[in-house]
Formats: sequence, structure tokens, C-alpha cells
Amino acid sequence: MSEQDFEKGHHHPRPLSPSALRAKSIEALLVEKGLLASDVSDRIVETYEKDVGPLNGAKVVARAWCDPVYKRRLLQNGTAAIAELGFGGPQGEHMQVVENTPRVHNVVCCTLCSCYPWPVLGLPPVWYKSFEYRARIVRAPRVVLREFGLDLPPNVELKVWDSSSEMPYLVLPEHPAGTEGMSEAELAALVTRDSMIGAAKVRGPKG
Amino acid sequence: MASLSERIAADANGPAAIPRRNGEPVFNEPWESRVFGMAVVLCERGFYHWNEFRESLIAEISSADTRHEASTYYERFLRVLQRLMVETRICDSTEIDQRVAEVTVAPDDDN
Repeated sequence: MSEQDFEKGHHHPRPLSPSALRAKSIEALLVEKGLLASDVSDRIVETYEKDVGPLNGAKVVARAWCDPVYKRRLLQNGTAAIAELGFGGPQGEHMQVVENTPRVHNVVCCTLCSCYPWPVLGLPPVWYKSFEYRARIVRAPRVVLREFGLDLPPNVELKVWDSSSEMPYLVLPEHPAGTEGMSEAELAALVTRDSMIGAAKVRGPKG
Repeated sequence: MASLSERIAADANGPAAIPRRNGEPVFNEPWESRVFGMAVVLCERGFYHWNEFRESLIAEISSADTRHEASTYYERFLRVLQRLMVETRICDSTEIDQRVAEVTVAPDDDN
């Protein structure tokens, strides 16, 4: 942590970083030029961050768990099946869905930058964009997953998928045990973002 | 056709109250989220296609990685946004630099 963090208890405003100043300047210019209403970017960010978030993806996963025919369509043509639920948009072209099973575990990364299926997962978390993750998940995936708290047995095959701008990946996690009688909406509430990247499993209601 | 953000907002008005365990934040600093929002707005306004932004970002990240530069993801993202603003003639780089100099001398504290 930076020295500035020690200041947190005080009321002195932290000086803005050069990037923050630059961002502020650009924003002021865009507002002046009539290209940006002052609250628009906040609204977009809030929508992606809080509302879309991984919720859309969770709905897709729950539908696939409840409806085997939908699941087949989803695995065959991710983008089209996801569009059936009304989700699509930028970074959502040619979404590819890969299924986790007791024998195969899939995990997704983007080694080049941060390609990620926005329409279903919202914006990528900080760690997804880090050099550490981008470099290490390919070289030592089991070690990285263990750091996430996911220790895969050696007999489980591990597949790492490198998302590209043309093809962002979504993981269909395994349906957890102990969910008999749960509705699709209740199931969706169990599905986490990390499980749809492949960095975690979905835990049952008692997990 | 509804804009990207309208469409997303409409989606979110569904049963959005489902609890989500989201873990880490997506942004480290407020300016990062604003830069992201600006990039989406300019794309929606047709200044560039999102693919162009993405391609430029890939190139920027790759060259920064190659130089072992310590810059963060959003610092690189910001550079791409600026470059595209100049390329699409929204403004020239002098205009941006001038404004940065002014703000640096007299920053207000609303960030």
C-alpha cells in the first residue's frame, strides 16, 4: 500500500494522480464539446458494474441447468442462445460456451489484453487484467487455480481458453449438488462471476 | 434501435435483485471508471467501432508489456482513448495537454 493510504483517517484530500488529472481534463473537454452529458459515463459504468455484472451470465447458466435442450443450443452457438434471453452487445460477438464436468475443468483468460464477454459477465475484475494472471494462467494453471482456492484432483483435465476479440469464452459451471427443487431464479443466485471464468466452482445452497 | 446503454439499462430492470457474490471491485480508482465510460460513450456516438478501440488497446498493452512498463491497465486504456480522440479529430493533443496543465495548476477537489 502506498504511503498515501496512511492519510486515510484524515480529511486531507489526496492529490490527484497524473492519470486522474488527465482523465478529468478529457472529460471536461468532451462535456464542453457537447459530446458527453456529465452523468452519462457514470450511468454506463454503474450499469455495467452493478446491474449487468455477472447477473446475465448467471441467468444463462441457470437456464442451461434446467433445460437440457437450451444447454445443447448454448454449447453449439453461445451467442445465439444467449441472445434468446435478450443479452448481447459489444464484446459479445461469437461467445463460446465451454462446459465443466466432473472430468473436465475449463478456465478462461485473455493473454493479450482483457477480452471478456461483457453482455453476460459485465466488466472483468482487476485480477483478470493483471499481467500476473494473463501470463501465469497459461503456464501454471493448476497453481493459479489453487491460489484461487480451487484444488483440482490430478485426474481432472484442465483446459485453458484464451479469449480473443473475436471469441470471448464463458464457462458453464457444474450444477452443484443439493439444489433439488430450486427454481431457475434461485439457482441463478448461486452462480458467481468467478465460476463463469472457471476460477471457482459453484457451491450448493449449503456450501 | 435502442442504444447499447439503454439496452443494458432495460435488462437490468428485470429481476435484478438477485444477490451476487462479486468479489473484487472492477475499478481501483474513480477516474478509471470514468475513462471507461467515456470510451463507451464515444463509441456509441459513432466516433469509432469498438473493435478499433480494442485493437488499439491490444497493441498498447503489448508494447507496454514488451517494455516491462509498470503502467496499469487503465493508464494504457487512457492513452488509447486520447489517441483515438485525436485520430477522430475530436480534439488535438495540444488541446488535451493544455487542459491538463491548467487542471494541474488549479485542481478542484471534487474527485
